[in-house]
Amino acid sequence: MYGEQGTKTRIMKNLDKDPDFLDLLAAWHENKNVSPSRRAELLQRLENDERLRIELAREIEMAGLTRAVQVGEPRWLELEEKLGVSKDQGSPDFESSVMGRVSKSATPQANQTLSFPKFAWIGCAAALVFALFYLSNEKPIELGVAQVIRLEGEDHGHHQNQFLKKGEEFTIEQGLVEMAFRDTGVHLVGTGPLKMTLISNDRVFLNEGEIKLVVPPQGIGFVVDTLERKFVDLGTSFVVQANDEGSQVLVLEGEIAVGARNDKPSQLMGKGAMANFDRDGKMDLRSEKHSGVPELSVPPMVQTASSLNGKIFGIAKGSEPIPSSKDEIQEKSITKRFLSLVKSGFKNTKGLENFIQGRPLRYTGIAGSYNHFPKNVSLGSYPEIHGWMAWYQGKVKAPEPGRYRFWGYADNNLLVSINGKPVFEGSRWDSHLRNDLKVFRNNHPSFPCLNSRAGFARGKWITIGDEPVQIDLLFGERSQNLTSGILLIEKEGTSYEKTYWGQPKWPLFLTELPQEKQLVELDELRIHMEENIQGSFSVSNDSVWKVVKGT
Amino acid sequence: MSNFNPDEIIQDVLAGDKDKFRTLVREYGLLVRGYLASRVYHLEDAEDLAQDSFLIAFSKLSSYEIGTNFRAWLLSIAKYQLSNHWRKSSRRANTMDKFRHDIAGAIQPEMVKASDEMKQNQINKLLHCISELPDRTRHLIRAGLDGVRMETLAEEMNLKPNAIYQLRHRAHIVLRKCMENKEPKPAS
Repeated sequence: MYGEQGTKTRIMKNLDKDPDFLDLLAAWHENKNVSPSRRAELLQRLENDERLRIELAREIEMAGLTRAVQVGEPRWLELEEKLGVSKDQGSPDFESSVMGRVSKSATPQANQTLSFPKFAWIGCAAALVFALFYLSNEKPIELGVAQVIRLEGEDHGHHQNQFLKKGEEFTIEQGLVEMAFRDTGVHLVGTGPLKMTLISNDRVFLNEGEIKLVVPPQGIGFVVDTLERKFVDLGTSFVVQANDEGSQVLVLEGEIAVGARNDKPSQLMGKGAMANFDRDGKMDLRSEKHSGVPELSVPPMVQTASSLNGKIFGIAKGSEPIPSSKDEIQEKSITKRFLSLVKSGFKNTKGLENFIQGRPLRYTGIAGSYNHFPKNVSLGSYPEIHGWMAWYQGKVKAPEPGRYRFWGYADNNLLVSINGKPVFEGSRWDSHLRNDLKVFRNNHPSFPCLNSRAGFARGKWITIGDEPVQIDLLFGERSQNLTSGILLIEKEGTSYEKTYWGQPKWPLFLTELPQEKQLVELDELRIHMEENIQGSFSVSNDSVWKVVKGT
Repeated sequence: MSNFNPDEIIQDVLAGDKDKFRTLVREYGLLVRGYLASRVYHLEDAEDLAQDSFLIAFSKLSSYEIGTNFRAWLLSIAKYQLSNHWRKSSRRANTMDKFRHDIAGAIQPEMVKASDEMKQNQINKLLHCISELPDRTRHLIRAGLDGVRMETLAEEMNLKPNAIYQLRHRAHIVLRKCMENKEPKPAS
């Protein structure tokens, strides 16, 4: 009864209980370790037993087919390039017929835009089979490689909380998607038009569009493929963009390795680096070692009775030993010296007495880079390694009573206090203001903000009445001079214009309207953010918090 | 599917309509990928080899003799790619890799027969047949794709590892029978 007769399958009784057969399968499929004597024994049996050979061959053949049929569409880029753009948009194909046959209830895949339109039936039909599996199983065992956390924009056939499967193509025409990868914890924010394939839980292929990734330690090694390059994350946050002309990468934090498609050694790119890759593989490294965020010029800072005034502090040169280790830099940073001031409701100024100061400050908003700010405001011979801090204070009146909340981020320090109580903290992860004060904060990775891997931070709603409130605002650098920041304000119930990827353009927190020159620079900054980082803001006279004269 | 005539398509491709080659990829893609996936340990390698096979087939299409067996011609390219792959990988092969090669050598005629007996229209029924498996069995078939080791799967399903192979073998027999016998239900 064993063996082949015609093309019909013969069920081989008891072979699936044969230990030799099972050991051979384990060795074949799982590389299961088998002793030398056992290996010889199994090979001997194979040589002598035709029935075993036939059934093993059939088993292996079938396992290969089931692997191939379920794995989804392969990325055959070389073949695709060789054949050029497909014009094959034929009539009902096998994909449709499988869908029809398999189930009436399953949801077909929308936006079928694969380059092999008909060949893509493999991926779609496989997805369908497993969609059925999930539908019919109370406790799904396989949850896909990523989950959609947020989806904004017109209906594109996807939905929030949707699990995306290995090999699945994800396409949106416009709007924004935020997803998290299982196991690796990688956070991806993409903006439409977007077309990408989720190859696995640690790899995506970006055909078109722009994605920002925030990669936690367990996700190090996450790969973004484009036609031109392979970007391997080394613990960081970065943005990749792909279109017909090539691809582009911007490193927001940390470091990535950029690999070519021809086995040449990878190239490392660090924070602030941006590079373009054209279709011929040429690389154009546009900037390096700084965030690329524009730095606004410093307007005249004549303090008046109706301006929010402040001071900038540094540690006097030679007054303290220069820290020699990272831990010491953190410990001796000027930020830490401000903790007692904040905790006292901005009353205890004793710790500030030994600091040197620059010229008096007049608040004109916080937006952009501040790399040269200390020098521009005459904070003279301060050792950069200790950092600097600006402190603005005064009594301000909200444009109208209501509930407000702050949005923003600074690399390194940003804190807003109302009536002596911190209401917003948007500092970098290693800031003392963040780690020691534990002010309520929500991060929004879907709203990219400067070089923040966590996106915009926001505080709680605060209720502001008719009466002026005391505001204290800290902004500064922990160490060295690569500083950036932005501070915005939102009023509850106000409808703000949104970017096309869905971020409301909250207004800059201002206490007076900027001068014409500064308005132009702010607009340039906004354009830079929208084009390069995908963050945004607005400037509005209606949102200005006026200073109560004489405070 | 039974009326599919590759020769007509090949003539069109050779006449300059290279887009038509996609039709061949669609028709024979699973055959080639399945053939390679059953013989190569890592699925990614199988996919790369399958693409290479089609690339070679495309560039050498003029050497195919119209009227002969395109499927066999294509599989011979895949076999050549596979033997190249084995030759290259044998340099870094460990003991168990070599054992797998020995097994492959011992059952080579049966492997050829097994792939030959798998008719194109049967392959196209496979997805449908998988969808008709019971949930637990479908999960078993699926698990190998996601890199879940048999030991892990056995623990998850509260079975001994050998029982997993038994169940999978039985599932494959059911699938083969389904592919041979069952006509797909008409779309409704």
